[in-house]
Amino acid sequence: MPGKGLIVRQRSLIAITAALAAGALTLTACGSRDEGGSGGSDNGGGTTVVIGVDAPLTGDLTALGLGIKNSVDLAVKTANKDKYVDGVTFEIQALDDQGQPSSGQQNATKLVADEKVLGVVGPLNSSVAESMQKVFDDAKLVEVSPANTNPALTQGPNWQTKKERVYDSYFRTATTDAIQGPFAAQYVYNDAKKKKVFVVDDKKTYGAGLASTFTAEFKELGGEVVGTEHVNPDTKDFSAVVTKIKNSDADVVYYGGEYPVAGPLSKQIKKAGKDIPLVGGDGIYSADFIKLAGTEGTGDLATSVGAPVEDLPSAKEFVANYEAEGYKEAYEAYGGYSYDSAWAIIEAVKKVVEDNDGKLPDDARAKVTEAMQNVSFDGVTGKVSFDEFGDATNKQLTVYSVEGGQWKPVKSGTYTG
Amino acid sequence: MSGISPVEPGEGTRAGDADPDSRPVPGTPRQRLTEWYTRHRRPMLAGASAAVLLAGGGSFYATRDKEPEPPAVHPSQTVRVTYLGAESPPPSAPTRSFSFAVRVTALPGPPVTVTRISQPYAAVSLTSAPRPPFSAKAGFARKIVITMHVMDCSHVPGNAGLPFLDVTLRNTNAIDNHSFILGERYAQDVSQALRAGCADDPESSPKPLNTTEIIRAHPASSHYPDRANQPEFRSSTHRVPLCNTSCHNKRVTASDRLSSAFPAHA
Repeated sequence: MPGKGLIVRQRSLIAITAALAAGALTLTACGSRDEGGSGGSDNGGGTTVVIGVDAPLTGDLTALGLGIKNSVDLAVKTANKDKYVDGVTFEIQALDDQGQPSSGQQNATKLVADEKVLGVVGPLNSSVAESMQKVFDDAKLVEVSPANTNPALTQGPNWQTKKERVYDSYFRTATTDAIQGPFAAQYVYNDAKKKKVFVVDDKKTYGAGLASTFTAEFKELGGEVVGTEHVNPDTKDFSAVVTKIKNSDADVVYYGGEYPVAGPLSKQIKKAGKDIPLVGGDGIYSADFIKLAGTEGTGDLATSVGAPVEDLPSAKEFVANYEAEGYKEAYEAYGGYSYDSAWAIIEAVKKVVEDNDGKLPDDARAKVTEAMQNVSFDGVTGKVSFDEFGDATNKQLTVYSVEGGQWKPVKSGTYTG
Repeated sequence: MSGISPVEPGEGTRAGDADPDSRPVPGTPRQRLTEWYTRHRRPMLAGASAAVLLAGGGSFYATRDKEPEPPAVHPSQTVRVTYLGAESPPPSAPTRSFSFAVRVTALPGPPVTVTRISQPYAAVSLTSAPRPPFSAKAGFARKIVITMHVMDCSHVPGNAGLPFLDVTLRNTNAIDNHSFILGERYAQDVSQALRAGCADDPESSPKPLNTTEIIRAHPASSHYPDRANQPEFRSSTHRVPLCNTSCHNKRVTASDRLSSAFPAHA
């Protein structure tokens, strides 16, 4: 309990602070601000800029989606607290896409209609991103995904033979499956010494793409694909597929998809008596996978984008601030990348405002999109900047293993090509 | 006013009122101590004051608000390894050897020691010049020549898209075994060198795309248990890699290989 003297001093401080705040508000109110129909809104004391968030906030992928939303919220609060962009207050508008492309597209249309929105973080799913990209690009509204890994989103549908950027407004902070799949294959074949794989995917953009890049590299290394199957992500009974896996001589299962399927699939494979690990990508790297797989999930592997956030000195402040804010949900696999995605938008807005005498220009969205290409800062996940396709220049990956009911990092890699 | 001290000295409060028995007896140790103290009173007081100040200062220093310690940095976050290109293998290299150079760069952070450089293929061994361990402080940028030796042509990868170079790094905080994925050009050069190195013996050449069939067709019996029977690759015209700018044009790129496998959008 503070002493009386301290209370008196605190009262004095409060009085002085109040007086200074009142003065500052008066001065701010006296200043004129002409927004000229640009994005953002003048709230009398400055401009409000909205950063949209699109992620699955309900449904099976809620854990990852809420981690994204909370992390963007933290970035916005930090920018406002530090008054990082003079005269600009940031807000977020988070919309739920439920992991569905159609919902994502509706959300994109809604965000475009709000002129205060100058950038969007999201979505989680590559298939959802596909449905949103054109809507945003037509409106020159910048989109930065912390989680999309399908290479085609940045490098075009023919990325394998001719990389070609389709949408100038699309950026991402996550590494692509062009690296993640082969990275997983190299680890599974060379380090885990697994030579015969049964490949399962959910037929979605992300899952099928990742399974494909994994398979190609695994075969190049000398591994054998002893079976392939597709599953419906809306079902939870995989007995038909499990029987095929059980009857194969596979020593590992690779699953291209997300944890709502991967967890039960892993459990059912082991329950059937086939004690082989299930390996997946960043889509299964969630605490919810472990809950769904149960103790049978021990030894399963996942690759995920980036180095373990807890190991990065640049992430310690993020982790501490996230805890201090008291968010109920964990930041999960994409928290650091979501914070960095939001901060990239904040940096772009700052650049645009500073280049326009402290005000947002009329064509703020186009200018923010243009500025994003040259954004560069030290973020939670390391250096954040983008290449000519809108892909992150910082390409790190980590293999995690389920041990003791938790994901434990096993090996990390950095792409320096 | 309510003073609590006596207005005048009370009985027994004057020096002269003290009990005569309590005065030091001349010649006794107490008397000698008293006399010594009287003679050295000023230096004694000065010394005591200095000791108190020193103790106070020390206590203040020990309990001061310390600068936050720099966060523990993993060595893998402060070292970069980038591919430079093919090199001629050293004259002492065994047959089926090829060389390339990488640059190891140390970013700002605690000094790092490179304790090991390896690659993941069981059929290939690796040496480097300089040999680990070597230290890398901030600003360090050094060319390292890697020489790989193919020990078993039947088990080298056919056309891997993203081979690793594994580097073990140590600093005062941690030891990391980190994979550096050196990119397409490195992958192409390694694949080309492996193919060239094993090309003269079809029984043991690296596996092409359909690896399942090759594994069945070329069991482990196609190894070279006797090095004397191995083809010679280190002659001037067959040394691998024969990689210069022109040979890059002949290579199948990683993207090409993936194109047939990657599906249209789901």
